[in-house]
Amino acid sequence: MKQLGFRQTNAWLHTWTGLLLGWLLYAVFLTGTLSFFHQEISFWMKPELHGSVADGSSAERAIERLQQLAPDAAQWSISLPTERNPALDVQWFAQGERVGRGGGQRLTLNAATGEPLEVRETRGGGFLYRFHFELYGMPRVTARWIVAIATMVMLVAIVSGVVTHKKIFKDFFTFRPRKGQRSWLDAHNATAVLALPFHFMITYSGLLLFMYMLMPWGVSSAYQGDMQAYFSEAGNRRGAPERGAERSAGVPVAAELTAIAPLLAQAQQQWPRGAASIQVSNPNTQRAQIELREHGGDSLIERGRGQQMRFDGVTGAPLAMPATPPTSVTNAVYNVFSSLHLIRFAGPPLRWLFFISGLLGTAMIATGLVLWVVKRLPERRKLGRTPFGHRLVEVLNVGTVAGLPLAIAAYFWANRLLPAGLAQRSDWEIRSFLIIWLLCLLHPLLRSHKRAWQEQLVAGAVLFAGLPLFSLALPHSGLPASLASGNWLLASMDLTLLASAALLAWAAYKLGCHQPAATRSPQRPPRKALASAEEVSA
Amino acid sequence: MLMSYRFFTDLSATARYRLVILSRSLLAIGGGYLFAALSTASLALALPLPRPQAVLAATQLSFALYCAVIIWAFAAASARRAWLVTAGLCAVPAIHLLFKGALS
Repeated sequence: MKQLGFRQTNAWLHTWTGLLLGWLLYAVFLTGTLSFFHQEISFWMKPELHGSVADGSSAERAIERLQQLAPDAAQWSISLPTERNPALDVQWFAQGERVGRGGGQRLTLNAATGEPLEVRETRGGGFLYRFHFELYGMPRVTARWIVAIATMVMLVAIVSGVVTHKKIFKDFFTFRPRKGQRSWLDAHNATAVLALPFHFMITYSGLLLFMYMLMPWGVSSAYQGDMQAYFSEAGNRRGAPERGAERSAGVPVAAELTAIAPLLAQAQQQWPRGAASIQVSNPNTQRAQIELREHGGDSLIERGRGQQMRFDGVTGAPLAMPATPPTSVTNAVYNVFSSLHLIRFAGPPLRWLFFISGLLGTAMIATGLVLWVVKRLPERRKLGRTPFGHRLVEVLNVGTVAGLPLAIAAYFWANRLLPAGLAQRSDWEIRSFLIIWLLCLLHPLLRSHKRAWQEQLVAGAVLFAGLPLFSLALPHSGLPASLASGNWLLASMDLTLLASAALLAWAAYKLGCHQPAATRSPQRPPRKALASAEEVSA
Repeated sequence: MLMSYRFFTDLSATARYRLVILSRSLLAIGGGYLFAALSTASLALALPLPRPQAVLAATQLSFALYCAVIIWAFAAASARRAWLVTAGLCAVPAIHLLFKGALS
């Protein structure tokens, strides 16, 4: 490498870091991009909820239902319907039970009637979300390390990719279609540069979300490795201990719970977006307290964390909340980065912008992977055979770039088709995804490169197009019905599925039209079709 | 390193190229991480900020430092130079930490 300049060494580094973990990064980017809409996907995957329409009295219905189900509970939690999930989720904890994640009993209610809903067992969009940083079927910590290393590699690939391009701005406005390798490079550059701030932000913030696992040495030196001391001094624990103390004091005296509607009305005055959740501790006793939480905050610096209001559960009188300390600059940097990654705060327009940027990132990785193959065709022709490494990259490219979307379509189909009573139903949905993906990785071994692309693209298009059609058979889920009632939550999912199908079909069509340039290379792979293959990510 | 020089020159060009890549990769991955880790530990103590914020700032910066060393490891004029410079870079926070007694 002695003879190479700075730009060339960066090009080399970009090529090899990009290839090494490109497929994993493609999977992380695609499933991560879908995770921007994981609640919407989950909702779509639970057709039983599609008849639930929220109105002003949903909160009261939830309280009524909890009064019937668990009047003596230690705590009730109610997630109010939102624009991203119009159902009511209630959870309650029995006396003496440890209140925390995963405990208690849960029920989903129809927001319009308060009736419990029998929802099919599914991990929904949550699976895709978890997959994008914990993969599947391996210890969580191992998987997080693998994804974190891939993320670090992504950072190196992004920085070295930028260094490589002398004329990065000019390159962005250059697209030379039907020029083989040159077109691939242009497509790779365009998708990269168009959303470069996004790619950089999402990668660096991804690392920051893992930073205490990856780089615990600052805490080691300044706090002798005592993470708890660090976090408590950094002020990350908020008001948790005092609540426990309240609960343990004395024998509860029965008292009637105050009405929720006036409290919500008070909250509504202060919070234009309204309340997201209600938490009632010690309901129907004198110690009852009601806590309302705001639906998403305004400030990125506060990580979009909503404010809270606390009331006496019997009299309805407001109670003081522990003051939130002001945020320091360093904390603010972390908060802005991590909340940009998680975008809990965002409304639909920003969410779509992130989604599209994520798809561009996915396309950037896909075009990069294809470019690696296309760039080596002359070398292969000179050699007169296909080296094993080249063939391996081809197979992995088809099985990942086209295969992963196909597997996601299979996941959605499994959600629709598996019987509701099947044991381990949600596991079987995931297994369907994994089995189909595995088959997609094996399939290109048996077919020519072009055939493999074509067949997987067509299969993906058929599966995606079929999903909205299948929903027509369900009582509240059909596209005409959701469009007519203005239910954009459902309609946009169905339209996105149709758009994905159209993209895959278009890619397959272009691939079918493509005639290899016979004079230049008889066995040139179908580059035009590949050009559209990255669109698969939609 | 000097001992292996003879062995090195006897190798074929491809093998030599691969060895250089291996050497630089090791440096980038291991040396880069070492530098990032030492800098984080050192800056967490040295930054003129309240303690939790110094830790947070140092940790957030570490990935940029790591990335810079990785790129440098491949861009340096020779692998040997890359190793020496990285070792020199690591020495600064390491000495600071030794001085602070934080490495024990």
